[in-house]
Amino acid sequence: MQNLLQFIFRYSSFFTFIILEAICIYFLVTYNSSQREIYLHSSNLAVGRVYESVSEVKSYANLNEINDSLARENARLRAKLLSITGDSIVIALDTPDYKVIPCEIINNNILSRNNMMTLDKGKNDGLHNSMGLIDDKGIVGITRSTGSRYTTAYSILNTELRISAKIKRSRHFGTLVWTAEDIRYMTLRSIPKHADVKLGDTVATTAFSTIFPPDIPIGLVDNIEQPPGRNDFSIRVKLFNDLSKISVVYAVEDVTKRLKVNLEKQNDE
Amino acid sequence: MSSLTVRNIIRTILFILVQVLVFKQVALGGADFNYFHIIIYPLAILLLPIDTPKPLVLLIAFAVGLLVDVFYDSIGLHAAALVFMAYLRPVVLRALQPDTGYKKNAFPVASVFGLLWYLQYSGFLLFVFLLVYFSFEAFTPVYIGSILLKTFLSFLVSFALVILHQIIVNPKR
Repeated sequence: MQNLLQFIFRYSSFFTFIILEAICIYFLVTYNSSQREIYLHSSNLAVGRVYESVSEVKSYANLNEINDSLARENARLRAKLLSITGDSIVIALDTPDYKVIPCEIINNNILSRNNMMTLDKGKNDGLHNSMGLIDDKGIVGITRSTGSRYTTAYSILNTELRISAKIKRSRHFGTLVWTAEDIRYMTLRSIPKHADVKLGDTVATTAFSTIFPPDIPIGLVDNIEQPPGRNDFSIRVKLFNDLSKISVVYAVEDVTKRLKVNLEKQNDE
Repeated sequence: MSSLTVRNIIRTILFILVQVLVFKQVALGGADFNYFHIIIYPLAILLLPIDTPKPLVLLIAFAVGLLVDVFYDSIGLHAAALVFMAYLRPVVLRALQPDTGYKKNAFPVASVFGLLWYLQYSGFLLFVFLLVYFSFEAFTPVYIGSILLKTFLSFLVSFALVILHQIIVNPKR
């Protein structure tokens, strides 16, 4: 014991130095946005590799289930393709408006208020910031920062996200947020009081945001509330997707997005 | 509190004020060539008495750095660099130690040890400070070129002012 104390006392300046420097770096990455971005980015790269190998093992166990869901999706797409053959508009638009990149989620957090996920693709595979992430059941998230080989994305279970969504039947639109209460539900706000909303209505994405394609299903209306003193509904939406067991997603990007954004910018000037 | 302590505290506050009120506002290279940063407040650590306890020097450096950070809106950045410099100070002092050793209560100033000694002492530590500062600012080795360029250019102007301070004020202690 005495030796230990002597040791600490002897190197007291070294220990003070290490502790103070650690505090400084903690402050630096917590309170400064550019350093935090870089810290997250590089830790992504290192941590991403670890997660990838873990998820490789995990995905073996889920292989059957994934196979099934992909086969189902394939079948549905095939059916859709058949139904639109002969539709002149679709054929006239020879270049598709959406770029779709399949990704695997190698880390997915659902326990905190602002959940993030990590994808196994990055800039090299054509991913960008603010691309929408969807799968066969609905929306999953939005990419946040892209590294060369990995990408971090906001999960839709993130209290900072605001997603434009509508009641599919009546076409009234509002803002979809997550209130950090239950990972199965999100809340749709700003739907005006006169809107005709029923339990069981489908909620889908709108065409207003350039992140998600329009009419991607999100969930079903589960509960309608009228907060006192407000002029809008607060609607609980039961998600189609179970975010706790998701592994394959598609990153989608509206390739005409830039045209749209530029035009809106011009109008603002 | 001895008059020496009071003196050091007032001097430290003055350095911080001059740094954040005057030199922070100066952009020598203009807005497009922001490579000249004038940084003189490390003098507050450089001029501490030589036999100040080492952990105390580190704590003072941490406090001074954080204070400057508050004004620069970069919590942790100045503090990290200044603590690093403060940790190296005893090493440099030992390397530059005269044959007779340091007297008790000696001050690391030019009027006691000569201008050449002071140039080596303050030059090395100031350079280390700036190098660490700009490295932590960029926070990635990707911009090593611009880190080094900033360090050299800022060192030129800052070091000139540090020497000027020594010549004009010529502190005895």
